[in-house]
Amino acid sequence: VSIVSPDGCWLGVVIARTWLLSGRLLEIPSRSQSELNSSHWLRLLNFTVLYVHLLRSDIVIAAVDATVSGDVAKKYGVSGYPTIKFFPKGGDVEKAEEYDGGRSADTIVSWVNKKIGTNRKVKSAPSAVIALDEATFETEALGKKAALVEFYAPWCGHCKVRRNSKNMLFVCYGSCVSTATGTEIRNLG
Amino acid sequence: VCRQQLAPKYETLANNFAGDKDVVIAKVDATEHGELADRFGVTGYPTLKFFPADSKDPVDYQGEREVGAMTEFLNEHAGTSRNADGSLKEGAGHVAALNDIITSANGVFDNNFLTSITNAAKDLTGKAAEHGKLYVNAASKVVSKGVDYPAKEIARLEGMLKSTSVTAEQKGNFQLRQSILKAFQ
Repeated sequence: VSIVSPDGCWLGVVIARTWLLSGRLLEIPSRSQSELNSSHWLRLLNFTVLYVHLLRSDIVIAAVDATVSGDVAKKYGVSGYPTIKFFPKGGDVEKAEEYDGGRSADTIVSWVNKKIGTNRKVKSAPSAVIALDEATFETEALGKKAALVEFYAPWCGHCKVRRNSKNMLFVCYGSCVSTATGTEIRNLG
Repeated sequence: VCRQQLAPKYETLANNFAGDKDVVIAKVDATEHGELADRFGVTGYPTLKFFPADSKDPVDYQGEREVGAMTEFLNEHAGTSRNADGSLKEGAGHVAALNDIITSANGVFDNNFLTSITNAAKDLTGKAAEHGKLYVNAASKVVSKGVDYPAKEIARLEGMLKSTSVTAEQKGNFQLRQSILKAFQ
């Protein structure tokens, strides 16, 4: 299993540490933190931050290249990339759960916090770009000032990604395009 | 261009314009705030839209997603005057009518000169009026401290700009003052 492959698609798995310690880990090699940090895929999902923040708690963040270890992907019913799965401690494969929330480090970390009872926070680097929501949009973007606004999807990279997020189907290739709402997943690959 | 490539450039752009209090560089997570994306017809990511001052009708930014191209776009559409490296363009904040008074003073910066600048600045409106105040401040210092003042003050501000504790607002102000002081040289 290779972790570093700049343009590959990746299967992501979030695995409870006990799995690793009990030797019942999937076909995931031990990797140094620097290797994990330099992985394209980890950056794609903001996992660098996630990894750092969850490293010392009772959880392991790991990645599987599904193009190399297709059997692992198949075994856990993975059909789109990247997919994040959570494996609770205890080693019961039946309890593996797909993570289907937002792809920002914040969202993933708070989900994991709920799952395993931790209370980790993501420290983000100070940014000069102002993050807007519905309320602040009115005052900042539609007010007296001129505004340049980037609409983005946090997980969108140049890897081919197909993801059913909320009720929208997002397909990424080159830049990311959201198609009509629906559940059908088209493979543009 | 995907977000990974755009994000660091966009961050640089935001840093460069942090001192321009009339311009906002912002982002919307469309997965969290889908209503906003729908409202403005966003179908791909990342999408850049420009909202002019006092307007609810955005313009699609379709230029290159490079700091230089985005900077030029803002200069054209938001009335800013910046280079791609974040510095102000030569002559930024200058007011032609006040520059004329400086030129005709021919190096003699006395009280008559200060009166002329002060009176002319009173007639200015909008952005020019703000810049006019900076001209008057600079003119009064030049009159009291002598012709070396602009060069010394520009150097002092340059030192302050390098400080890590300087805020974005201060930075914008220092850069503008430097630009206007150059009109006195």
